[in-house]
Formats: sequence, structure tokens, C-alpha cells
Amino acid sequence: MPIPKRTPIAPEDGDGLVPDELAELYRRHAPAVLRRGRRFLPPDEAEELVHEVFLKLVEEPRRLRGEASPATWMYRVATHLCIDRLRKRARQARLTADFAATRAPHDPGQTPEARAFLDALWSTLDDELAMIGVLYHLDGMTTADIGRTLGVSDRTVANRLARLASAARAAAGDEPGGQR
Amino acid sequence: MTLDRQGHLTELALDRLEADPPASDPSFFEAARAHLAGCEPCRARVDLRRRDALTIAPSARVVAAWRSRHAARRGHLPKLVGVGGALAVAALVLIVARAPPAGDDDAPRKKGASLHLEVHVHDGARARLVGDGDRIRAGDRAAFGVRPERDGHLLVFGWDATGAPYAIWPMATDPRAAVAQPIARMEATLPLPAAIRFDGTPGAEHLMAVLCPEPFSLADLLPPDGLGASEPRVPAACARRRVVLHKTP
Repeated sequence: MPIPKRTPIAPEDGDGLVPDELAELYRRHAPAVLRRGRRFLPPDEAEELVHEVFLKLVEEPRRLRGEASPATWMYRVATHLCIDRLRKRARQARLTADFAATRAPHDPGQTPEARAFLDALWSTLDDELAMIGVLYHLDGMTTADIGRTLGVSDRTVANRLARLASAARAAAGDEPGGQR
Repeated sequence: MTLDRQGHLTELALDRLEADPPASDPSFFEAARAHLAGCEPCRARVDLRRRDALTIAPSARVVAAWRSRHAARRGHLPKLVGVGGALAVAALVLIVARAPPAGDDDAPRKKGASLHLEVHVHDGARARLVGDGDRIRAGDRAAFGVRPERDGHLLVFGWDATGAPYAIWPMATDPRAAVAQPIARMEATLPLPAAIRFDGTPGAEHLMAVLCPEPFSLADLLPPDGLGASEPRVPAACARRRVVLHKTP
């Protein structure tokens, strides 16, 4: 049997149509991503964030395929991009400022560590600590849930939270040291 | 697992309830729904989300990236296969991912049984997604994408107006010998490493994907009196999708 010679065809572009599969992914996941974006960003930026998340999905589809929970992947990527955007702006505002309207059912920020994190510390921590801090202090997640969401052990999360608390105390001038 | 430190469903848990397929993590869905049943504040949050009804359409940049990516994926397929005989003239690589334009009327509708088939035809100038009743011409080339919504064994085949069957995926010189290949449930459309060029036989061109829980061959599906006279014998437990095109010389 002859194997035909490959004849690549350029993709159809510019016809103004949205592939239905992409539209379905948006229908299913974009509301949650948009909601997540609005917790940290102004509405117009939150919409940009949605498209940014889906661009990552398009660029790395295998990552999503390997996820038991696509929503978790979206949540993680969206949170990371939110933190990234806020940092790029070198914004020193309290993280709670944009968050107050849709905060978790509990009231975050009641402990000194949480207040330090929410006020300013989040913007100076490394990516992993900032992410863990957001999930813990803003979303109220348990260490086990954070571990599952980020793909690390409970113990790792607990260690990072201890480091975060130490950084908070250092930021408050209670003790020397930083995030590491 | 689903609760925050205050004992309520996390935002992520609500996202998962809203967007993840229940089959992705049955224990999570069971636990989350059980909690919802007894937690009024959490139900209120779910209601608030429903009232929000957020929608957002893909941006042009994402659409362009999507198409570009799918084209690139096709370009890296290791090998193309053709259809035997006169149809095995050439094959092509094409991916423009879209959902199926039209369902097979006799496709099973029960949850979890769905199978999606995309047919993309290139006429030498441009590619288009085709659906039932669309016209094609001899020499047009076609590529295929599938999205099985459950694990199973998949076979894609076709037959022309004379009833002559041909295997599309997996490829087999003798179509009767084509054996369905195991495939996992997919969240996104999988472009098949298979393409065909339509020959000059005019009339209806049937393209069908069949997904069964058990292994099978194309021979199992062929009716004794031929596809020109009867329908394929697809077991009730199988999902199938068909696109019927009208071919002109």
C-alpha cells in the first residue's frame, strides 16, 4: 500500500468563525476564570486574564489533558496570572482591596500573618509562596486542598506556610529574616 | 477535600461543580453535593453564580492561536495513511478544530455515550468544516477529528454510493480487516492521523465513526447485503456519528 506524500494545508484563518470546540471550552470554563480574575483585577483586566488563560491552554493542551480536574488547572493558572499581573504593575496596594466584594465565606486577614501577607508581603514573595498565601489567606483553603491543587504534599504546604509566617513576622519587624 | 477552613465549599470546589465533568472525580462530586444539600450558605453562593450567568466569547487572538496550534499538531503527525485502491491517491494534514456540525440522527443520546466526529474538506483552495448534505467534488481531500466522551475502541470508515466500504482510521488495505483501536475519553478533539482523497464515484459519501466498549472490526459492522442496501450493523452499546456528503464529479 503506498503511503501518500504529505501535503500540508494551511489552516483556515480569518473567516470570523470560532471553532465550536473552543467555544465549548469557553462556555464551560470561562465564567469561573472570569470570576477568579474579578477577585483580583478590574473587570476589563479580568476579561484579558480569561483570554490569557485560554492562550496558555492552546499553547499547552497536554497539561490540561493530564489533569483529572480541568477546573483546577484553570484555577491554578488564573491565580498565578493574577499574581503575576499585579506584580508587574508593581502595585503595592493591599491585596484585599480588590478582593473584598467576593471574599470567601470566612473573613481572611484576622491573624497578623494574614494581615502582613494581604497588605504587602504577597508582592515580594516568590511565586510559590505568593500562590500558597493566596490560596490559604484569601481562599481559606486547607493545607490538604492547597497541596492537591498545586500538586505538592501537605507537608510541603505546611512548611511553606511556616516560612510565610516567618516572613510576615520579619516584615513586621519582629524578627530578622525574610522569605528564605 | 472540598471545604475551606470554615467548613464551606471552596471557590475551587464550586468551580469544579460548575465546569468539570462529573465522571472526572465521582467521589468529589458526591462529597460536594452532599455538603451542598446541607449547607444553605453554600447553596446561596451557587445560586448567586447562576444569577451571574457570566459569559465571555473567545478573543480573535485565542481563535487564531487555536487554529495555528491545531495546524501545527497535524504537521507533526508521524505518518499519514491513505485509503486503499483508487482512493489512496494522496493524504493531507489538516486541522481546524471545531465541534461536529451535525449529529448522526441515530447517534445514541444517553449521557457518556457521545462521540463527536469532525470532517474537514480541502478543495485545493481552502479548507472547511463540512456537515450533512454538504457538497464535495472528486479530488477533494478530507481529514478527521474525533472526541470520544468515554473510553472504548474506535474505528472510522466510509462508503460511497456503490456501497464500497473503506477504512479511514485505522488504515487497512482490506477494509474488512480494519480493527478498532483503543482510545481514551478526550476533553478535546483529537485529529486523526488519517486523510483521504475522494474518488470520482458520484453520489452520497458516508463517513462514520463508531466507538464501542469492546474490540471489533469493520467486518463486524458490514451487513450481509452490503452497505449500499443496508445500514452498518452497529451494536446498541456503541456510539456512532455519521456525516453524509454529496459528491459530484
